[in-house]
Amino acid sequence: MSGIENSLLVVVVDTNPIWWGQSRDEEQIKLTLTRCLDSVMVFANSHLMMNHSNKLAVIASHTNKSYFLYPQKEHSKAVSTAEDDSQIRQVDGKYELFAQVDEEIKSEVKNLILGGLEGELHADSLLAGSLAMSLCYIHRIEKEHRSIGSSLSSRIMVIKGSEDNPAQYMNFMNTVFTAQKQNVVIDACILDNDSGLLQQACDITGGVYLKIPQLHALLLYLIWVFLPEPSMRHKLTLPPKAQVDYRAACFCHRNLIDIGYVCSVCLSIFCSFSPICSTCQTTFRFLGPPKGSKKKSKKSSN
Amino acid sequence: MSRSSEDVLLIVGAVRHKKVDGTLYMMRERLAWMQSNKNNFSVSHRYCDIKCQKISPDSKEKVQLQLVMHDGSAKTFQFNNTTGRPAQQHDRDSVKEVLQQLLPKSHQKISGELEEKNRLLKDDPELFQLYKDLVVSQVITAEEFWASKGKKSTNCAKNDKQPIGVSAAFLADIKPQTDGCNGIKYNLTADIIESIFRTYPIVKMKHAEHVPHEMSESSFWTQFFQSHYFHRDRTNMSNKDVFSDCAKKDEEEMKVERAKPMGDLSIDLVQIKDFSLGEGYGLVNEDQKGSSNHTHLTMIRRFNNHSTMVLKACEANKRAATVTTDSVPTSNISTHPGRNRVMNEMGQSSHLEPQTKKQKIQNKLGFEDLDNTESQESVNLKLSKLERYLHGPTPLMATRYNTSEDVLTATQNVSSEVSEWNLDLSQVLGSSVAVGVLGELSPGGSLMQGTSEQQLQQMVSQHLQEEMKQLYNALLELLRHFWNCFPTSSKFLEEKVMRMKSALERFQMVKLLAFKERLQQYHYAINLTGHMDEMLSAAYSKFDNWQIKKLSKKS
Amino acid sequence: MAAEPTVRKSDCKDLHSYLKTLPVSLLDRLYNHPATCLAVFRELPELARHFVMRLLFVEQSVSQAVVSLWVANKHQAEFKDAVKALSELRVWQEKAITGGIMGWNLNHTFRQNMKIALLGGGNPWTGGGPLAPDKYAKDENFLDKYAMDRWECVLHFMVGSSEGTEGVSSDIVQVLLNSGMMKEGDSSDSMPSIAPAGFQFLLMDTPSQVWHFMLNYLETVENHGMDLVECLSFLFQLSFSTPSKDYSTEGMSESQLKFLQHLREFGLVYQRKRKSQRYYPTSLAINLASGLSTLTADTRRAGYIVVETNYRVYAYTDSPLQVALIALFCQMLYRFPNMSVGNLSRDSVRDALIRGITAEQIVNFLRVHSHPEMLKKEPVLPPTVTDQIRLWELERDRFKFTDGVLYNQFISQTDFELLRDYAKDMAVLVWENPVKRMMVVTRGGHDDVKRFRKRQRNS
Repeated sequence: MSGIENSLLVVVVDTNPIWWGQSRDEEQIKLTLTRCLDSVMVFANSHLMMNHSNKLAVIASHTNKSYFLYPQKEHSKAVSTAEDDSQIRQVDGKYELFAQVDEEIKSEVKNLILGGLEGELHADSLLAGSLAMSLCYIHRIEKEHRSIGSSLSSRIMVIKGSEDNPAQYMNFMNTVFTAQKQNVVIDACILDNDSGLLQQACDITGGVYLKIPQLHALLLYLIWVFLPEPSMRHKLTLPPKAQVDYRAACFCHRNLIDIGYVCSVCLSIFCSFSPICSTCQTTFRFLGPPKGSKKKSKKSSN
Repeated sequence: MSRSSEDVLLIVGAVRHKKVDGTLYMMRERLAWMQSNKNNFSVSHRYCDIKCQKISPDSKEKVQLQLVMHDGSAKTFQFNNTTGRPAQQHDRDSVKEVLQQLLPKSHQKISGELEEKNRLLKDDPELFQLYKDLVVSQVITAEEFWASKGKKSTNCAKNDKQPIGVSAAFLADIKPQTDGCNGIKYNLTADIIESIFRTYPIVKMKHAEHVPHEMSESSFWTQFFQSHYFHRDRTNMSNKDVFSDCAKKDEEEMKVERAKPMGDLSIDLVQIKDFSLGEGYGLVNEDQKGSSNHTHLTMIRRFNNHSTMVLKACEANKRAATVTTDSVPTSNISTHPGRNRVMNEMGQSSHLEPQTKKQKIQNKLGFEDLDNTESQESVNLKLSKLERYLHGPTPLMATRYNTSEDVLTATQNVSSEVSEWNLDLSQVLGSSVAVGVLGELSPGGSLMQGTSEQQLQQMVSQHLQEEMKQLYNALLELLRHFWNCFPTSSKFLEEKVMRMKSALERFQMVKLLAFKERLQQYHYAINLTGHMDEMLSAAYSKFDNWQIKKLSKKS
Repeated sequence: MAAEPTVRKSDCKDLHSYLKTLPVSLLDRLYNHPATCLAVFRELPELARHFVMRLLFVEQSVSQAVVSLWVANKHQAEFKDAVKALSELRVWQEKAITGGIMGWNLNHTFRQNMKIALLGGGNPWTGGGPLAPDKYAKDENFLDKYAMDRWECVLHFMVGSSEGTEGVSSDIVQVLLNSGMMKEGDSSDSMPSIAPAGFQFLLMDTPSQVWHFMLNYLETVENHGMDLVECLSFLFQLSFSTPSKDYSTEGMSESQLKFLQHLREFGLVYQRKRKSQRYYPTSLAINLASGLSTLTADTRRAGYIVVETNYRVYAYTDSPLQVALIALFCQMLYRFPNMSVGNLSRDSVRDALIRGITAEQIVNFLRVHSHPEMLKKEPVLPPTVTDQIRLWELERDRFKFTDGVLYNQFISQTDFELLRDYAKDMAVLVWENPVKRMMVVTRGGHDDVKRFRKRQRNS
């Protein structure tokens, strides 16, 4: 029995209405949120189809909250089954389980989007929160599995369009390192601009990072690159890993820099020298950067 | 090594060499002789070339000094001081003494250096390879090679060796060999003599006084050993020989030594009794040994003296090392046997004593761990703009500015889209699109670049990699020499730049080109020597710039 | 299923090897149902599954060279396995594409039905409109218990215990006899008794037993005048259904309805009454496709047997089935509410051996079902006991029986020797006694030897 590897896939979908609703001018063929969700459903079902024991969760990463699309919360599920039992009945040749997944996701998305939003709307999604939620869910499921003595390998798959939010950096990195510690692989499928944060996340956890060139063919990329389990990936020829930019940003202008000045007291990073650290007000006693240093470094680098 | 920097240690006039009068100069590194009324040295020898010196016996008429070189040749100097024979002898002795001091030094140095170099080459195969590449092929000279290398290596090798102490039993270790009849033969090595000198400074003094003009080396040592036996039992002294006064001097020194204040004030040696408490089960044992005979006392005294000398010898080495720095007032031990100096030092140290004393007592009384640990006032770190830590390494991008209107329309777009959403997955992916992406994701497609490429490491054979590594080593060494010359502050460096430039060119012609030609047989896609070429061209362009500048300065 | 072919004994077929035996036309017909496609898909090696997924949306042939590049060089062996499995099950076919290059193309019906299973479309698996809520709705626990009860009936019948055997129909008996797990009793009215294969069967865990049984059942399906494809489709459909949910029997064909009744007997399906319009698939049926033993099966498999060096066997169980299993080779002494004690005696083991059970099977059974306390020891079973069981088996091998024909009353010694040498040359001679001029040849050699003798006599 130990040969069977149960696999839990948590799909985090970016549902930021601002990004999705943005009128994108003359961009190839427009990928709408619903079409994206269609692809995600098929992908999720493909994962369930791969193996009987595979598990699935889908989380929407919204502008101000993270929301479980599948599975539903226990109590809401009980209510819905009592209400309209017949709804889950098969209407076509689709496998019942898949139909159920699709229906649940659809109704939850409608709840989420049409339910209206209170508070501010941001152009970025609450990705760090969604990842943390995924990790918690994974932890719970893994614990359940351990109690009956079977193993579970989990991974998180992020499908993201909106911008990175630098303010989430700390939370985000914390979740990433947690994931690394829990042996959870984070994959990222990027629809729009490259995300430095997710690049790092994938690199740290050993996942695949892919910015897809053709948005309308999203599903095929998903099936091709992200469907194989991490344990399987070395057997397939997949797109090579890109070089990840681990440079730090300076505190003063938020530029990415290769070499900079670090305050010896508070470890703030600056792109240019200043005699007083602007973070901790430490005064540096010498009257400027050592004259020779610049010259020397230049020479040695030659 | 310009001439001016050579300090002359001794100049002796009226020295004849090959029947010509002249002056003998003794400098730090070499010895030279200048013919009178000429301006240059006709004879000049580095000390390291001199094997030994010989002097004429007193019985001879001429007062001469002969230098025997390592290559077997010899130079003879005759001291021809007009004032008379004693003056001549004095001249010669002074030369002899300087030589005596300098010769062993330079010998040690030269052999040490050679050994060190040999060892370095042996220990470091890479360095050896480099040596072969650069020196043996005469790209640069050995001196240049070592000038750069040596700095590094000697630096690390320089850490002082701890001087080996004198074995307490060294005299006993000198095994006399009986020659059958009544005589005894001693074999003395330089080491043993050194040890004797260190332990008995008076003997050294005597040796300097008497050897070699009053008695020969061997007769001195014979006397020494005879007297040494004699020393053992000092009760009856005679004034027969050279060493008779040694004993007296020793006595005196012992007294001085005893009169010196104790190093550690907290120990009262007078109070120390020489029996253990447990002996006799508490019964007071009257000191019966108090009246032990005189010989025992002398023996003990000798032992103590011996120990003192051994300790001094060690101290002396330490002192020599720290002689430039201020000697600590507590060290009352003098390296010089001369009494005056000892007295001086004592006087010096005595007025410093109360201070030392106080400190010593303080040290004895105070216990650090019993001190009240004063709570140190720590400076609190005050940070401002904490949020800067929390920001990720995402550059502050010009985010598309979203007006509230934009936001509203966007949300409405999405809402209407979702509300009209009907689940129909059959059209989720068209076949033609799928084929397109399949091409993209198949090996060779746009997303799969770089997957099929072999690792460079596997492509290039081990042998070539080795060779390339050697080439790199040699080239980097040359380049280091080249770049080290800048800025060209002296004529010497300028010359070196020129030489290095030609050396680099030679390297490129002989080694690099040959390697390139061989590489061509393998048809590698990548230019393996590209980096080396770049480094070379960088050096050349630097050289050209330098030359242009130099020319412009001249004109 | 696919995941654990190694667990099963070599003579048990898995779905893959079973499907391979089916004729091509049948396979194509099988793929007409999404459920079979799903089942076959899950049965494929992992790489093959990914190939199918990758090709699912590509409605044209893909060059074989390209497909082979999908897999890293190091794993070409696995790639070959995947290609072989896909070709054998006719999931994809070789097809020439332009330029004479060979390409792979997914089986059309397979692709269609996979898409239906995944994306929707096509007809619902079960006919009939929505069912009205069942007033006798059953929950999962009830169904589990029902299924286990029914299944244990079959097992009870096999071990010949008297409990609950009345529910076993002649059809089941027929399947068991066909499969060779049981054999007919000596007299016509006596019950069939368990065969060596049956003992092995009892050693498996429940899902494997069900699967093994169903395979054997399917072989008899056509004898009952049912359509194999329909039955298989229905079976897979069952395995992909939701637990504790009722399904309608409407729209099912005659043979499917008959099949349903059989399944009801095994406990794979619950139907309140024979004529009831609805049925509930049980966990046995659902697990059929998953190949995963349920939790109940897991706990049951925890060992309960303690064997002592004095040949005592203690079974900490209240299940009559398990006691009956032990009684196959033990002489039962006492029975307590939660524990039974038996004795391994020469007679009891010999009885088992005579029934065709091997010593190895007994030892294996004892070892597999050892109590956790026993498992702490090394070796698990006392060597004296295992050795003795093997010795008892060897004991029975002292005689070797060979059928033969006796030749005697030779007239002369030369006559005898001629014939004997002939038989010897033919390697059919079993025994000879030159003094009494008697010899025995094997039955197979009898004809030849007789003919030879006749010729000799005639000449």
